[in-house]
Amino acid sequence: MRGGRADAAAAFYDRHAPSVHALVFRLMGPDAEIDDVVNDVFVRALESMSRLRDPGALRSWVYGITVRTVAIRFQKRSRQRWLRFMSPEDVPEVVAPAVSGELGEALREVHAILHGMDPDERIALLLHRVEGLSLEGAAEAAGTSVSTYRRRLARGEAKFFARAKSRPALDSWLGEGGS
Amino acid sequence: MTFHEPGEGLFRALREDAIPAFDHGAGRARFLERFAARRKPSRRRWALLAAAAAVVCAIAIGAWRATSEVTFSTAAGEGRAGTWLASGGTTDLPLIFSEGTRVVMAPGSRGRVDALRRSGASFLLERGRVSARVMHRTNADWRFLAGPFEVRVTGTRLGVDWDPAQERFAVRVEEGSVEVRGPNVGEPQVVREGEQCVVDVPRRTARLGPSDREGVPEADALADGGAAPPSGEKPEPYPRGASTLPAPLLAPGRPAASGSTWGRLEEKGDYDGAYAVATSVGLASILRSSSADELLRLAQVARLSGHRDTERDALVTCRRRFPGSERAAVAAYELGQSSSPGEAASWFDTYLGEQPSGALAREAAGRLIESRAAAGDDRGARDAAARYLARYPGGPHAPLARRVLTGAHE
Repeated sequence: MRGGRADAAAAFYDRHAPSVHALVFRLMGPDAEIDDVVNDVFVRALESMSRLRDPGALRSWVYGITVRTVAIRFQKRSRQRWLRFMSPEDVPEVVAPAVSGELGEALREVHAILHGMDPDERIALLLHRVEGLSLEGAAEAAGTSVSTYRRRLARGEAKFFARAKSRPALDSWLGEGGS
Repeated sequence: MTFHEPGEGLFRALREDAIPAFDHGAGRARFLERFAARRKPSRRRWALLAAAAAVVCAIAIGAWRATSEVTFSTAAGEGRAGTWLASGGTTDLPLIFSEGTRVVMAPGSRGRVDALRRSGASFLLERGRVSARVMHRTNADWRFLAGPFEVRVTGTRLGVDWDPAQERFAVRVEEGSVEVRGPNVGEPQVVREGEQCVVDVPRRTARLGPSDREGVPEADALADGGAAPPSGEKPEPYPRGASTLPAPLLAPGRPAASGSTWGRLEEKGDYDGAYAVATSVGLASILRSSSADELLRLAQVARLSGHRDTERDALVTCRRRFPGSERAAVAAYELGQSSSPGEAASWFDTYLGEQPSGALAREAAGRLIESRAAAGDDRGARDAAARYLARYPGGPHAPLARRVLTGAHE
């Protein structure tokens, strides 16, 4: 791929696109811009391929680029909201989840909470609690130190549960150890 | 429904949520198109890139010229914002600004130029006295910060005194007028030519009356192009006999924030509730009357409840009211945590300058590398990385520091 071979680029895309798409979805939730973000991930990978020192670390490298690309998209949205004087609720970017019933209602509430959170804290929370990464692995993927990541995670969890408690649809999901 | 981890059921539902369909073929075609375009840049593309770069450079140079900040110098050379300044025990320290303003620190004074702007500067007086002759210009914005007080100036001659040990403040105006903000003075209090405003914070008294000092001699001498004269006798900043100011905002006997409802809610982890209560009490009064620890706690409440502006206000106020303290340095560190990379680097640098062996020094040194790298300051990042490795070779940021030094970081 570094040599400019299109077949290598195609193989790279075929191999990583499904996992990138899944990760972007889990980090962003139902969102009209998921395909754009996936494309951004591969463009960034293309542009920084020359800096990849260890080809054996390709998968984790792509993972890290994906996380940072999502973070950049969140930050860009925050700036746009500020510039347009729009509240987060006014920005038409969330697509309704396909799941229906109690689970669908709970997921809608969760996405609404995540949508209103600070981007860094939202990503910190999702990498550890949804993706299941260790603190060290999540910090590396987020491109920050473990101590910083730990603080973001603590803030993210505190905010998430504080807001979840005020939503009746999530009562049964929080359970006995819900906060 | 019971789970081992709080909220595990919700997070598992998110983890197992069905991934929507993805148009792999369209995405692949889009990527390969980009790949091909990158592989074969045309001459026209290069020409467009060169033209765009030239336009960007021209705009950047124009913008830099239009927004260049004032600068200042001392006898030691060009000054830097944020660097602590101290006059000698018997000598003045004059500061000369590029747009004509002169500020003179009286003997035994400490302070710093806190910020430089296109329209003026902020000077933070930690203790002692400053005299100033501020050049009057359209939109001039000069601020003198002393403990919890702020004096705003557009063009005038004035003197400011601040004794942090006694928490006593005075401002004298020789020409023009200024606005004073702070405890016990109403907000804002205008002080006009020939007047002085004297505030005793512990006694909660504030007096506005005619000035009983003769001019601002140090600034006058500099304004006339002369060298700073040796200081005269020790200033008498708290004159007697003056009329009473309007009723103070800070009512005597108000309980400290540590025993407040917002403080108790914060201790319980109810940050949204704590913030709501703090807002109803009045953030301005909390900022004016709280201790350094309480300001840091208020900042945390604001941060955790999603109110970044208030967090910043609390941290900046902590630094302004308690300059030189360990808590002020912690506030600088926290400001770094919540700032954009370029500004963050400045705050981490500030922390390290004020608390080089402080509890957060190692983390601040590491965050300095991160923030400079993120801001595109490669040289600064390398400097910070080298210093980090020299002091903390096994520290948590050591791998990043090594990557920065070898140019391997992304």
